[in-house]
Amino acid sequence: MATSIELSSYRDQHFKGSRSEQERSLRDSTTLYVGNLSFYTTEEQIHELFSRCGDVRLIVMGLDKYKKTPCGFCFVEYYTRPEAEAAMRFVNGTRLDDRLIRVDWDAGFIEGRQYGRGKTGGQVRDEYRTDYDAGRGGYGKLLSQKIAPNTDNR
Amino acid sequence: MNRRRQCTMEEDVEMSERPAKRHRRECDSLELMLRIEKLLVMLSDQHGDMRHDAIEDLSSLVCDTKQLRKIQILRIVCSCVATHPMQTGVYATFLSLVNVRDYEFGCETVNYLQRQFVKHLKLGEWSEARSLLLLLADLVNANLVTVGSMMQLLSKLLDVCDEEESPQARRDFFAYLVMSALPLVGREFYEKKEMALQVLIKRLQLYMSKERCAPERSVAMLHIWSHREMPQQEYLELLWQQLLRLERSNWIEQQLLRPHLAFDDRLSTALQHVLPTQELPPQLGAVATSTIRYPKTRLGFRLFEPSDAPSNLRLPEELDIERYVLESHILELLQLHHLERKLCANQMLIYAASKPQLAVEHCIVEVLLGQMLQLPQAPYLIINYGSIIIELCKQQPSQFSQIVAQAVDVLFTQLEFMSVSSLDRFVMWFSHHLSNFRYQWNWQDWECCTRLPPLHPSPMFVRELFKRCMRLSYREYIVQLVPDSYAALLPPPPDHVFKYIDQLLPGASLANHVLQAIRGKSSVLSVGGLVEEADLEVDLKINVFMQCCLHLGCKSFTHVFAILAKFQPVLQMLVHNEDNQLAILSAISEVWATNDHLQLVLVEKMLKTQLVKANVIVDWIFGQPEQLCHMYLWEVIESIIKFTKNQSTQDTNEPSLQQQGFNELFIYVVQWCAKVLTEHEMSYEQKETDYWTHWVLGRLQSLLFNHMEDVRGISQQLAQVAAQWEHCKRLPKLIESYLAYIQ
Repeated sequence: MATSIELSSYRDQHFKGSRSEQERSLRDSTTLYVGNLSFYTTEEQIHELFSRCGDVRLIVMGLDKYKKTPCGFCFVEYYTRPEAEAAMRFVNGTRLDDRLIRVDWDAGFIEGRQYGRGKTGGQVRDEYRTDYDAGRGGYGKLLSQKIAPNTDNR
Repeated sequence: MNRRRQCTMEEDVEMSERPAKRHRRECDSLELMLRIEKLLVMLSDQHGDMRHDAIEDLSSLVCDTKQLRKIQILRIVCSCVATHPMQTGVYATFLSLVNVRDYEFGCETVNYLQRQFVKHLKLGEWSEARSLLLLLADLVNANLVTVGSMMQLLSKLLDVCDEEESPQARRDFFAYLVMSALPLVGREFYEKKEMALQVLIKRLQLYMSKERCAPERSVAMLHIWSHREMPQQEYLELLWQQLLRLERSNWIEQQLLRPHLAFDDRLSTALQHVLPTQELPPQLGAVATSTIRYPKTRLGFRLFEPSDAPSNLRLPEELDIERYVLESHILELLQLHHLERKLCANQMLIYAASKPQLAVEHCIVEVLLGQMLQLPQAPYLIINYGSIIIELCKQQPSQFSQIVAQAVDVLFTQLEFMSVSSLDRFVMWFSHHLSNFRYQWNWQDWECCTRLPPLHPSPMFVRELFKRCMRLSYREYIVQLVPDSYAALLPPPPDHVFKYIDQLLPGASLANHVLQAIRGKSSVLSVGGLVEEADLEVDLKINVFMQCCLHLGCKSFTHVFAILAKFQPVLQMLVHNEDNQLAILSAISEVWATNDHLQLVLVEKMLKTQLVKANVIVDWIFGQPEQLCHMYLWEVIESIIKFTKNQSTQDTNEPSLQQQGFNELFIYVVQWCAKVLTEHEMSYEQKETDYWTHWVLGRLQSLLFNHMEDVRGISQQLAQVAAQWEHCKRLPKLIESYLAYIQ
């Protein structure tokens, strides 16, 4: 039966190591990926919410590769596995800054992983999406280019 | 092909069989056993008619299967019942249906169950023992065990209550065991052994009203409410009252699960068995040791009365056994499923749907909040309860949002009488709950609290609630949501203050140089040199430098952590003694006076990077007594205590040394509390209620609750502190009742 702490189907394509090594890291990990954040969600807000599950060791904000501004995701690391599991159980799928956030296991933060991997610098999902999301720069990048080429709609 | 799994099963191999045939037969019986195990476990998930079919089918399967190890079946049943004590009816019916066709199985059942029951008692496995007793009670209902022998067993259990020398906790537990069984089997006793039942009740009566000394001291500490308006009866007394009322209605109880009724005609043909009560040991139950303890007393919790339920649903009264049954069932679901919030919510909703006439939803909210607020501690994280409640509100918004609002209103009206520990948890839960629902709330309803004295629990609660809501969102959002009358309760904007903008201040010149150097990307070495050469007192240098770092890093945690990490060598160079460490902390509270969250995070950072010691942080905290009535400084205390404890565990493997860090720090905190409480008392002249003392004592009590296991090891020292400060108004009594509880 599906539990709230099991691995999702996401695997980091840039992970240095085999699939099974990645899965082993994920099963032992105390680091979480947090997604669907607003670009304006602050570290303080993340810290306050995730501290309800345990002692937060580190928060790394996900940044646009070029602008170096938050682009809607972050990593939260705890000291112990049970605390991270609590976040998976009680925070995943609830609201932060009035948005339903996604919490998933992460193999561990390494320098470089804080940057969006989309072509225009943010997250890949913001390249292609077609909905309007005021907290994530409006329309997706490709669509905004079509609507108003050569303008920065942020 | 390896289908052999790790099982507790004993292989029953016929030595005369050929190896291959033997192997195949073993695999078959293993597979069959696993299938039966799975079906047995699933019995507790069934509902309504499907449940009856499942029980019947499984009992037929077991009867029809030859060469089955009966012990294995019983073992599985016991383990099912241990985790699902409210489902004993299901398993009793199953066992009894088998007994109809297999008398020998019934024999083995009673012998095995009684043996296991005694074993659990001997090992101090209280919950398992109780489950088995409930199963035996249901086996009477299902006609496998004779009424007389069950009565004998209960009488023997009640003998423990006559042991005058035994500790209260032991006698209470056995009384509780007997009382637990009565809702199930009381009616059978009434119909078939009325006299003996009356004797049993009389014995219980004697114990409850005369023999049992009111556990005032150990219970005193557990009261969430300081007045009589809110029901919080001691659990055993409450159950006793409920049983007396059940007795008055001739033991007719209709909420417990009784699947045996569907098979009445068949079960009544069975031959019953007698419990081998003559084989019971003379001394029942474990002798209390340091590791085996009898369960502690606890208090009931009620938020709702029958009038709180909507007109189409009935909420049983507090002294109604039905309330006990509903609560027990919900507690069981919570215990089983609390880690999976969706499953937990679903199971609770299924249970509610199975009782469409009763206000089960109200009970669910009451149980969840009651456990969350209970003293000394909640078993699970506050956010655990919160996430289940959010899930319930998501699944049935029309009902649960309303009930939660009702509950919150009740709690709000009683804030003045609520234990501080519970109040703080209420703040934490409600702020998180609101953050999932856009902070929508009828704030106008609570407007009256803005006119109360600022330290009164109601405005304080709202103030702390706003602070937490702002941490989860942001100030402007909350400000525009609440009526203007709340202005006084809104915290000031959490902006930083950099005083060295004022060029006339001593140190302003150094501040300018430092800022310029850092912004100009000077090396750490040169910045350090700059500071070192400045002709100022060390503490002033520290203040200036620290404020510069905090000012430059004011944008976010990441910014300030980066700066502090980079320039740590400079700080290390400056800090030589505890006064210097205190100077670092003063700088933090000056710059971020209006931002509790940032103060917490920065102080933690100073501790973790070993720039400041824990005891200096305590000095700093208690050096701001006017702030002690707020939550955040105690948040810092909790944090540094936890850190010290974890740190010690890492530093050494020597157990006595591991605790030393914690022990010293904890006693230090208590000493400081005593000091500020006494000082406050001496200077407090007003006639009005001393709320400040209420908050400080309450937070200290909270601290004591959060670390009971560890504090037990320093009970002596704690008692000494109480003796030392005997003139301090309420502190010695608080420590005394706490020590009485944790022994």
